[in-house]
Amino acid sequence: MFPPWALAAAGAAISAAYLFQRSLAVRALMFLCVLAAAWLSGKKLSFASTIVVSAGIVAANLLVPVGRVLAVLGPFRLTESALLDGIGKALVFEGLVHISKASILPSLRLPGRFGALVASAFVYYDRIVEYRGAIRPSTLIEDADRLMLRVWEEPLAAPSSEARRGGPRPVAYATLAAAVLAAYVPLFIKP
Amino acid sequence: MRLRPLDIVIALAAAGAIAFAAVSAYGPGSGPVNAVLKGRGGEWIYPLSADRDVRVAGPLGDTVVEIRGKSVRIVASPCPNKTCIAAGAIERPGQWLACLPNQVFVSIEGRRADGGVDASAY
Amino acid sequence: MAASTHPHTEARRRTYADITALLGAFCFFLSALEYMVPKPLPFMRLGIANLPILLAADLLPLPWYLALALVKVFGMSVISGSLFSYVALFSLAGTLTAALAMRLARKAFGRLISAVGVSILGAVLSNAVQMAIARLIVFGDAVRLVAPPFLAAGLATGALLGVFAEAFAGKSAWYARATRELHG
Repeated sequence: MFPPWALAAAGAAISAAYLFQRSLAVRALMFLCVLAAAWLSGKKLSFASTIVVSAGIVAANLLVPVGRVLAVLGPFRLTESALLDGIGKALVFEGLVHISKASILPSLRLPGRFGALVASAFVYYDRIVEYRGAIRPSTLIEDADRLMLRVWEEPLAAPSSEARRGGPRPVAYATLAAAVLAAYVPLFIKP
Repeated sequence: MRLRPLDIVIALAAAGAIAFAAVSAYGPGSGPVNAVLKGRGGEWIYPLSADRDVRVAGPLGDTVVEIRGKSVRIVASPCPNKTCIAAGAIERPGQWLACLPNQVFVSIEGRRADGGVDASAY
Repeated sequence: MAASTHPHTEARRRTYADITALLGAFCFFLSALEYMVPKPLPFMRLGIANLPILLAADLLPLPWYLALALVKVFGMSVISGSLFSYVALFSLAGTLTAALAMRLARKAFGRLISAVGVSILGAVLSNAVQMAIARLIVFGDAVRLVAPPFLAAGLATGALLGVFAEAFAGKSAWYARATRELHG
């Protein structure tokens, strides 16, 4: 539905708005929207990983007590500013991860010679993944060498661009523009 | 395979750097030095490494505690005699300040570089 | 400036491009393998995906060598859908640090250093830079507590990768052929 470059541009713009947002409550709300968008995009999400990483960031920030003491657990003191700081940083970290997941399509290509280089690398990557030869730890070097020779020796056809089935409809661009606008509106509303 | 001379040098240098990082992270004197503020509303902790002013509420009003240049002092308080302000700055673990009329206590906690533990017991 | 159209130059540029793309693809493959290894903090890298860059230190001229590092970062960011996240920032900083350190060591020390020393230097410096960035954006001062084991892991994996790279470069028919085609 969305052209890869337009989706990526929208993702970049929304990432900036997300980073500039200072209100923890608004950022938490944006995070939920971003999670939903990433889920709708069909990308594989790992809630376990999100929770573990977020908990790690919050825990690391709590290790250095700052601010009002909220609770005491043995020698460990849970402090307000450290907690809010940790939650804020975790929201930023995971929010940017999920904005990327929602807005980066595997078919995204950069223009120019660098883009062609990356496209060629993807073609070689497909060949590596399709390789059916064995790779055993006991003969790792020989097996890896055989894999590299096989992948390299097949002639590299020019990477095919995706067949265009008519341009993306205006509603796709309008949807992306609306999403970007929605991300920036809270920055301009004073509480 | 044969190792070359600089392989050993680099491995030893890296190991040394890691050992140094470990000692400064886990060894004596490695923890942060904090200012602990207690008032009517609760308790606050702030590292001495970052400058800030903190207002602590008491029955007479707000006592203003300044953390600057890794030391702590009371700069304003609604008490009549201002002895807490005249007491000056503290900077070592175990030292303390107090504004008794306004029920505000300020102390410094943390490990000294020689491994001694602070003596705060409020 | 008009590009050179000498057939020999054009053929060599195509081979540099081919080898850069091929090694970039192996960076993707090793990154995917590394992703499957459970780590205490999912965004911290072990560095095995830098093995092709280590091999390229003697194969590719500097512009293509740096292009390989950027292909690795950009390609993996697209595959994992992390292009706008701090994960890509860690990847960019770590990969560029490792690439530049390894290249410098290789060119400056010649026969006095093998792939083992080069790899250790790249891995430890890469992890140190990632720790510095982690201190700024996620962990704050608490990063001091995580740094020693993370740097030690860099030393260990760097040494192992270096041993493998040294053995591979010595035995690989592909590596010998690539060296002949580019430098022979």
